[in-house]
Amino acid sequence: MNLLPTSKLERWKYSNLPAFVAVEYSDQPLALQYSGNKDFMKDKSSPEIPWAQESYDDMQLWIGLQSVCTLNVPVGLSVDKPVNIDLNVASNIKSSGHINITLEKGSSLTIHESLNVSGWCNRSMTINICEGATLTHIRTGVGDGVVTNLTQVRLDKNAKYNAYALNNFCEFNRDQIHVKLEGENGKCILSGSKILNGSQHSDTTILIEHKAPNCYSNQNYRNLINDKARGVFQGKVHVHKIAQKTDGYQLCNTVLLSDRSEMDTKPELEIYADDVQCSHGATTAEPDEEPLFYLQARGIPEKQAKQILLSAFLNESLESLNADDEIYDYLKNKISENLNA
Amino acid sequence: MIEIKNLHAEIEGKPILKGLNLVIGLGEVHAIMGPNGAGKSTLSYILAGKEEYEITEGDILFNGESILEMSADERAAAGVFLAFQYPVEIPGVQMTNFLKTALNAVRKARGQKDLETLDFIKLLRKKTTELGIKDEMLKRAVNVGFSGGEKKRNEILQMAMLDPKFCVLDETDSGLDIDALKIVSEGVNSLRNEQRSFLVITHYQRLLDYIVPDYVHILADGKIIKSGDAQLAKDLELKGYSDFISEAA
Repeated sequence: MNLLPTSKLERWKYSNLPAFVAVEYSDQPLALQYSGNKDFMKDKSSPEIPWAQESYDDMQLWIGLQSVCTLNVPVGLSVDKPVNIDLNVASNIKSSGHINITLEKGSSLTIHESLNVSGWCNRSMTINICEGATLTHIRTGVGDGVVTNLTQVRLDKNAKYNAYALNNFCEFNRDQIHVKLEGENGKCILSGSKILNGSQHSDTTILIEHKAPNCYSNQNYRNLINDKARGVFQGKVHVHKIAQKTDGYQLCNTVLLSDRSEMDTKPELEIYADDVQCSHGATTAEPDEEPLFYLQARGIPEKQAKQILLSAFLNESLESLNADDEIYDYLKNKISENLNA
Repeated sequence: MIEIKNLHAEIEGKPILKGLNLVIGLGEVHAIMGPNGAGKSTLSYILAGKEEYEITEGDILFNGESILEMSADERAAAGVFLAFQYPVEIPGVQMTNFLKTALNAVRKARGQKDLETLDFIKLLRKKTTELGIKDEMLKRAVNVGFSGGEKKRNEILQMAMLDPKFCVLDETDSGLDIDALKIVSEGVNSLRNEQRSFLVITHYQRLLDYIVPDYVHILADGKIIKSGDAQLAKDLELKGYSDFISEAA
């Protein structure tokens, strides 16, 4: 087994992976179920390897993974129906694999990536969004295993990447996202919610590089952490010198529901251009008593009032997502299901 | 209908109410006036069931039964309604959904069936028309981005929807211009009847020109120091609080 990143690495300082993968795993290639147009599937034998960035000191997890799926959406094609990619990992199995997705010029696609993980899922994904193309990428999952996922996204001129991840599953979840906005007017929205209980650990680590002028990026997260669970959010926006007129926003708000729950939030801005608009904000707090009293004073019982307020809070993370109603309602329901449990 | 008996209450060890007595009969409108810090808002919160306050002595009877052990939602279901001085903004909770959830929660507690969506919309239409509330306001999140007047009108709308028996209005006039004050007062007056009692808490006599009370009480330092009819409010406006407070001392 390769050496694992430990909390000694700055980018992993809140997440000590070796402590969560202390059991024996047997290695297997990632098993993938795909529902969608089979014409998009390309030859797996010519994988695009993840970018081996010099800034990454944790690439040993993902370098050289076997390609398990290559999707290619042809020029100008708008795919109406969402494509489902299901990844299943049984217990005591470490499943690894690389997924490569390309959206050619002017095409559009919605992917729902759904995980069912009892063992350890270690996937890397590279996404190429060519000029004027749009990818919506929804991620959900179930299971009590370990997830270490790397998602790398490259956007050309006028391309859009819309992502939402609901992290309410698995004991350990490392969600590492690297976005490069390489053409003018690119637009990237990263959003999601963590709903953590028990001793769950969920880490979202983001790097967004603005490498062209007039691009927009928005990170919008709302989290709810209970029991002795722990959430981590590290979001970095890097604005290169050439990337004038950048709009970069970042907001990560968390509600802690117990004395032992923990949230570590590290927003970072690194700006080399002089004409940009960037903001970041983060709050970590207990539930607010005033709205609760207001709802109760209108006859809504405490438990129901709390659910209403918490789902309203979490639903804010969906507001930036430009998805159609069906997806929006699906995610809203998923969130409220979690709160009822 | 409501009987407040020798009520002593404190917050974080600090006494606020120090032996307050008040009886409000069925269909009566009582006003409480008093200087800042007298305990007016504390009284309204305690009546509605806010938990931060500790009742150290006394009791509150509603239709002959103590409500001290009841939670805020149980009191609302029983028919107590507080119109907030500062209505709380609740982002992400849409007005119509909120009103429907509240109404059905109250109906459930009162042993009534949920209102069908169509019947609910009909009722809501009727009440909003009476109060001059635009549909657009119902599409927004509760109190978010509402003007001062809209917030207070929204309180009255909720009052009209929930059909309470006892309404507490906590400084409903604060932050309102004369036009808004008239609209809100008309809304309250339209809800006045022999079966419903009101406690109107205010700083200024102005509101009582529009909502004319049967009784007026002066609250100072946690106690009612003087009671009278509507004339008392007018005397108070002329003389100021200090005369009455020194008179009582």
